[in-house]
Amino acid sequence: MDIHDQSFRERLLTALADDPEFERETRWFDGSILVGYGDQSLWLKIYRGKAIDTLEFTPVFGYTFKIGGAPSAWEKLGSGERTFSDQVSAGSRHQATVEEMEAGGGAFRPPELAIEGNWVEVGRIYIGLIHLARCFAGCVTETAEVAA
Amino acid sequence: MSTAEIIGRYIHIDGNRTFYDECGEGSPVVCIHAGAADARIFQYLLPELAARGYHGFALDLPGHSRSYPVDWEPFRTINQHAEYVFKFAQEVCGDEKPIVIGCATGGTVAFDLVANHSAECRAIVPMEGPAWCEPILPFPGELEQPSWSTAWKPFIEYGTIEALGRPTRADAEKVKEFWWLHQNAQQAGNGDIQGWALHDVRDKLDDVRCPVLVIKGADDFWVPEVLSRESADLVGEMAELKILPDIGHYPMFEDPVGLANLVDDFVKRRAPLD
Repeated sequence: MDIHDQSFRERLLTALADDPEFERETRWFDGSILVGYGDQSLWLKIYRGKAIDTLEFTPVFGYTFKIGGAPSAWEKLGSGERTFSDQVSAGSRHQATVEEMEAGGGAFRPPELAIEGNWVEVGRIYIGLIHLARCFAGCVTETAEVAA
Repeated sequence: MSTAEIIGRYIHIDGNRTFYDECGEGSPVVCIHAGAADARIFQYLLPELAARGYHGFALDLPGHSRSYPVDWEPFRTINQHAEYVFKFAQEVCGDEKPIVIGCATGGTVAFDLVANHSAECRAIVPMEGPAWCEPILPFPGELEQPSWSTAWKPFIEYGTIEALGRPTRADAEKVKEFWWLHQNAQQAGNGDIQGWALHDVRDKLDDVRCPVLVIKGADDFWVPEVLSRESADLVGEMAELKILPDIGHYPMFEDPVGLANLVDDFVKRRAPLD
């Protein structure tokens, strides 16, 4: 899947524009969020509750924070198999044995969707981020269904 | 019976003003709430227990909602909570041994009571709180103050909502209600999870004296089934394990009737009164 494809970007921007919770929670945010999908990333400019631009590269002034993970991590979120809270939280919760938990670092096993950058801003618009992630994951699912 | 039958009261435990809800008459049941929540999380279970002949007590743990923190500091270990709950139970239950039900953080408090006070309890029901929690989440002490982590509050709100079972999570009104049940001091809720991360009573379960019903909701992503299963195994013959389909991290909120029936059946089978 190519998340730089214009149809994907338009699908994402439409989904965000149609989400009143995203708009409310990001009302006073003026920053940028980099969304990582495997090796690809999409830069989003958010201002006054709206995603107003996308770039397939990171501009020289960077981004406020980043959320990213493997395609499978987004697919699990999109399908409802996993929740956002589960996907962004470190720890071993999906292993069949205690030995497997400990082998992967126990409480310090990295989350499937990692958040990096300015965590004060992450916290400030955390609920908006949940909605952004759900919209992005939903677009991944929809795009895959259209392609199939 | 309905939630209108619940009476709120205060009691002093070692001089600390402590709130609790009370409902019904009969065998005493002490209910211990989840982290960052309060006694209201048991409001639907208490009338169901009362209808089955139990006298329910659900306290706000120190530092939560209407109960003051002890010495103005949050508890940061599960054992602190457990010893406080034990004193509370002695005060409100008198000479009768209590049945104890705890959920999530309260489930680990219940497991601490299994480890340290089982002879003084009639039965203990730890839900979504295994004998140890280390693999589940990193220790969150560096997120205790609001100035240290602006993300803690929404993380707790949504980490709890998203841990509801799928049927309850699909009910927008129940989700909204549950969000309002988790508006508490950051320090208190964070202290609960610090205690959760450090909790480990595995080496104190070789002589458990009362029946223990370990409950795990199948939809709960926070508590791996293997930890619940191994916790029950460590208790041995005194324990039973029940996995609840379509239930998440909060059985008393998600299915109070089913839980009341389950506890009632367990107590009558494994801990009948003489």
